[in-house]
Amino acid sequence: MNEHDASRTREGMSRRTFLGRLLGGSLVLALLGSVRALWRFLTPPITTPAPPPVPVPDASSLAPGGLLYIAPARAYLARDEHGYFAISAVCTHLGCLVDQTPEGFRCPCHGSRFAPDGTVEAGPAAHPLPHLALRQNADRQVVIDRTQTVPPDARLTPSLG
Amino acid sequence: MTRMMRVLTSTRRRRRLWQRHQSILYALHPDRLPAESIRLTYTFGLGGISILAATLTILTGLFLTLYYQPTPEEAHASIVLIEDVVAFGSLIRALHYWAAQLFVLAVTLHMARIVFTGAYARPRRLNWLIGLGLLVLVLLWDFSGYVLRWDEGAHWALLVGTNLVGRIPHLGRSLYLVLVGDRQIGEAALLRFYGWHVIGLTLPVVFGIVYHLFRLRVDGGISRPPRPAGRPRRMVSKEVLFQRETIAALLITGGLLLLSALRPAPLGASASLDRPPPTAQAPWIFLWVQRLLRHLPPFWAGVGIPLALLTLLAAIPWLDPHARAGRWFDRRRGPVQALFAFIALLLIVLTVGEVIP
Amino acid sequence: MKHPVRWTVGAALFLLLAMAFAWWRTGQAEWQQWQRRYNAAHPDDPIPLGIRSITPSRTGQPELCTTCHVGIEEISPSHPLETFGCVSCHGGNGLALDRERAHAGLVGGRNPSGFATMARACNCHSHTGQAGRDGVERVGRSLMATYAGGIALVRHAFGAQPDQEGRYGVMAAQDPNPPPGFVAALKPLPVSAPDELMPALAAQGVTASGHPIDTRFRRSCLEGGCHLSEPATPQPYRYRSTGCAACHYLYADDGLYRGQDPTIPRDEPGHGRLHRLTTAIPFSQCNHCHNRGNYSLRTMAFTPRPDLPPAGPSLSDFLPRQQRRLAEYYQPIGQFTLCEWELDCIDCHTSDEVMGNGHIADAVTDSQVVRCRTCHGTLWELPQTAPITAEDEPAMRQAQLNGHGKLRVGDRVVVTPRGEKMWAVREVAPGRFVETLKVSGEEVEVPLVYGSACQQKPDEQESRYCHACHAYPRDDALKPFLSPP
Repeated sequence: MNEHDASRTREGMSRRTFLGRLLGGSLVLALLGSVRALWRFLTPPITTPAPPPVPVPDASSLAPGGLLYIAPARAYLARDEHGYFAISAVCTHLGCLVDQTPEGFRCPCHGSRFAPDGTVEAGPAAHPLPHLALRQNADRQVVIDRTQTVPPDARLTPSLG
Repeated sequence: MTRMMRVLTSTRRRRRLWQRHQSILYALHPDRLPAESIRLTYTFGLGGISILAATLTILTGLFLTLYYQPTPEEAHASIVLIEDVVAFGSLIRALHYWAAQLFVLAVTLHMARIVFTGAYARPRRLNWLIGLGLLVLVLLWDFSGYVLRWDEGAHWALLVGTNLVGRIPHLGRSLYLVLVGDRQIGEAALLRFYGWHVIGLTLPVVFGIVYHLFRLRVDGGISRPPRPAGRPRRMVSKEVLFQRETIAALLITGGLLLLSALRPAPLGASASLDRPPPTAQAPWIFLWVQRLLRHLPPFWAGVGIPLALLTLLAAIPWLDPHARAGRWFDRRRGPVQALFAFIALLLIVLTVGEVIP
Repeated sequence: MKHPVRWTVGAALFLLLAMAFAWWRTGQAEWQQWQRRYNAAHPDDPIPLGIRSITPSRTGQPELCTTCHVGIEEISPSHPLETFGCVSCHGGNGLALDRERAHAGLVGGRNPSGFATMARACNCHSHTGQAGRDGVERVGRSLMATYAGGIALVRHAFGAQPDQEGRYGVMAAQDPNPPPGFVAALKPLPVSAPDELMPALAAQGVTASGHPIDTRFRRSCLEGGCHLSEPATPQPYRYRSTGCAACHYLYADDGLYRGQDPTIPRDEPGHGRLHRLTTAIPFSQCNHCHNRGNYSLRTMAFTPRPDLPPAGPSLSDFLPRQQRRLAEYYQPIGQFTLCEWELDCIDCHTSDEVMGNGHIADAVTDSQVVRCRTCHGTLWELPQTAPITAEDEPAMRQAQLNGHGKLRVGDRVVVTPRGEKMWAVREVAPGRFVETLKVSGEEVEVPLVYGSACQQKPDEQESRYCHACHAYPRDDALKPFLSPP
C-alpha cells in the first residue's frame, strides 16, 4: 500500500469499494458455482448398464454366404467358409441402422454405403462397420457381445453337439 | 341486459366497449402510434401473428398434457388415444400442430421483415439479438414436440440429432448425457424432452416474448419508414391497431381451425429401435441439415455451419452500423440484405433438394 | 382501414363458421360413418352412437374393435367375445380407431388361421400335450394340407422319384414317431433348376431337384388357387379361405357376406357367409375345392365341370333344393349311393380322416379308413362299437361342439378301423343304430346289412361292390328337372 491508498483509506472510499468488489466477486463465483451445480444436476447419476450378450437362437440354420439380422443385438450375423462373424448394424456416421442390399449395406438416413464386410464404399460415414465379438455360451448357442469389437478377419467356428 | 344491447347496437359506442371494460390487452398498447407502422403491407402483422400462434399452441398443448404419457411404452399409444378416441382430440392436436408450424413460419418471416426494413438498426440491436435467441428457442420447441410423438420418424431424428451433439469436441460427451439422460435414447431422453417441451422451453419463450415487446416499446415502437420532409407524421390511436389485431386474430384462428379440421396432425407408426428406419426424414425445419449431413462431416454439417450462420445473423446490426430503419429494400442497406437473402436462399435450396430426391 | 366494424363482424362470422365446420367434421370420423350405416340398416333396432369397448377376460385390455365392426357375429360359442375379444386371435391394435392404425400388426391379414399364422393365432390348439387337441399340428401333417400323396403320384408318374412314397409336401412337415406306413418327414416342394431357386424359397428350405416336372407341376397345379395354402380362385362355387378357416369358415357359393358387420361390403364376393367358425360343415364347403372338375397330367391343366361355373351355367340354379344338392354333390361321372349325397361329407369323413391323426400320411388309403361296413356292418357282423368312457374325451367334445349330439357317458358308438369313435352314429338299442346328421341334426336309422337280403361276399367289401346294386341313378333322377340346354 502506498500513500495514495492510505489517503483513500482515511476517507473510507477504498474499503467500500474493496468490500463491494469482494461481495460482487463472491456473487459471481457463487453464480458460476450454481451453473456448475446445475450442470451436475442435469448429468444423469445412473445410466443403464451395457447391454448383455445376445444369444442367437438358431445360428446353425444360417447357410454359408447368408446373412441374418439379429434385432436385439442390432447386428447382422454372417457366415462364410471359415466360420461365423457379426457386423454391427449401427451406421458409423450418426447411428441409424443399416439395411441389407445385394451389394452389402446401405444406411437410409444419409446414404452411406458399406461392402458386405463392413468397409465404407460411399457416403458420409468415415469408419467401417465394426465386427462384434462372438462367443459360445454354456448351451452351445452363438452369442453376440455388443461391447467388444474384433478385427474384421476374426471368425467363430462353433463346436456343436 | 338492455344497457348491454344498447351498447352493442350503438355505432358510436361500440368502439368503446373494451375501453369501458378495462381489457388488459387494450391497456398495454401505446396510446398513439404512427399510421405507417401498422400498415399491413409494411409489417404484414407477422409479430402479432407469431404471438397469436404461440398462444394457441400453448393453450392446446396444455390440454394435450392431460392425456399424453411421456414413457416409451405409452407415448405413441397415448397419442393414438388422443387422435382416435378422445372427443375432439384429433382437432385439438391438429390445432396444436398447425399453430406451432405457423408460429415457426411467422417468426422466420418476421425476421426477414426486420432485416429488409432495417429494423435491426440502433437502438434496436439488443432486441434483434433477443429475437434471434427466441428463434433458436422456437426451433428447439418445435423439434422437442416432434420427438414426443415417439413414432419412427421422431425416433431416428432424435437419435441422429443427439449423436450429432455428441460429436462436438470436448463438450460433446457431457452435453449428450445432459440432453439424453442416459448412454442411449430411451426413457430418460423422452422424459427430458417432455420436460423441456412442456415447461423448460415454454417459460423462456414466454418471458422472452414479454421482454422482446418491452424492449420494442423502449426502443420507440414498431419501426416505420422515414417521415417525408415537410409533412407531419400521421398518428392514429391504439383503437385502430387493436381493431386490426382483433380482426387478424379472428381470421387466423378461424383459418387454423379450418385447416385443423381438414388435415390432422401427422403420426407415423410406433417406433422400433431394433429395425432399420423405413424412410428417414428429419422434421421440415431441419431438412437442410440432413442435406448437409449427406455430404459434409457431421460436426460441420450439424453444428459448425448452423452456428456460423447464426453468428452471421447475429452480427447483422454490427455489419451495418449506420443503418436506419425505414423502407423495404432500402439500397443503402444493400449488402446486409443480400447476405440475408443469400442465407435464406441457401436454406431453401438445401431443403428443397432434400425433399425432391 | 375502411369499415373496421364490418371487417370485425365478418371475421367473427368466419371464425364461427370455422368452428361449426370443425364440429361437423369431428362427427364424420370413419367409425361414426360405419355406425350410422349400421343404424340405417337396422331402423327398428338402432345402437347409440359412440365408442364401444370390450375388455376380454383373457387379456384384461380394452378393445375398441366393435366400434366399427358393430354387429359382427361372435366367432363361435367356444370363443365367446367376453373371454377372447378380438385381439387374442387377430392381433392388431385394439386401442386405435383409425383404420390403418387399428389394423397394423394384424396376424395373417383377414384370416389369422392361415397355415403361416395358425401356430401363433390358434396357439391354444397347439402343443397341448393332450391327444386329439393339437389341431394345428394335426392339420400341419394332414394329407389335405401337405398333398404328399398327390405329389408323390405325379412325380412317380413322370419319373422324378422311383416309388410312390411321400417325400415332398406343399409345406414341410416332421413326425418324430411315424407308425408303419406313415412318413417321418416331408420336405417342401422342390423346383426343377437351381437358377429357379429364389432366396425367399431357399430360406424356406426348398431345393432344386433337377427334374423338369417339379417347377411345371408347382406352377400349373399347386400355385394359384388349387390348394389349401393358396387363396381361392375368385369364382362362384370356389370362394374359400385358407388354413383352418378353409373348412371351418363357411362361404356361400356366391362368396357374399350375409351378416351384420357394416364394414364388410355385402356386394363384394370373397367374404365368408358369416363371421363364424363351425364344425357343422355342409357339403357345399367341401365342394369349393372337391368335385370341381378334372385335371389332366398330360396337359397339366384343369378342366372345370361343364355344368357349374365357370365353364358353364349353373345347372343347379333352376332346380328344387333336393335336386340341387344331387346335381352339385358329385360330378356327373361319379357313382354313389343314396346315403352318399343325402348325408354331408363330414358324416362319413371324420375328423381323423380330414384333419389327420397326427401322423404324416402319403396316401389317401392311409387317411381314409371309413368304409360302408363301418356304419352298416357286414352280412356276418354288426358294426364295431366302443363305449364313451369320459366326459372330456374327443367324441364327447365333438358332440357338444356340434350341438346336435345327444351323447352320454356309457353310450356305445360306432368306431372306425383305426379306433376313432364316430360320435354321430350311436347304438340306441342292441342291434339298432341311429345316426345324427352333423349339419342338419336330423336323426336317421342306419340300415344294417346283418340279417338283410344283401348278396355281398366277405372279400368284396369295397364301395364299388356296394355301388353295383345300390348306385343312385343320378341322371335319371335329374332328367325330369332339366330344361333343354
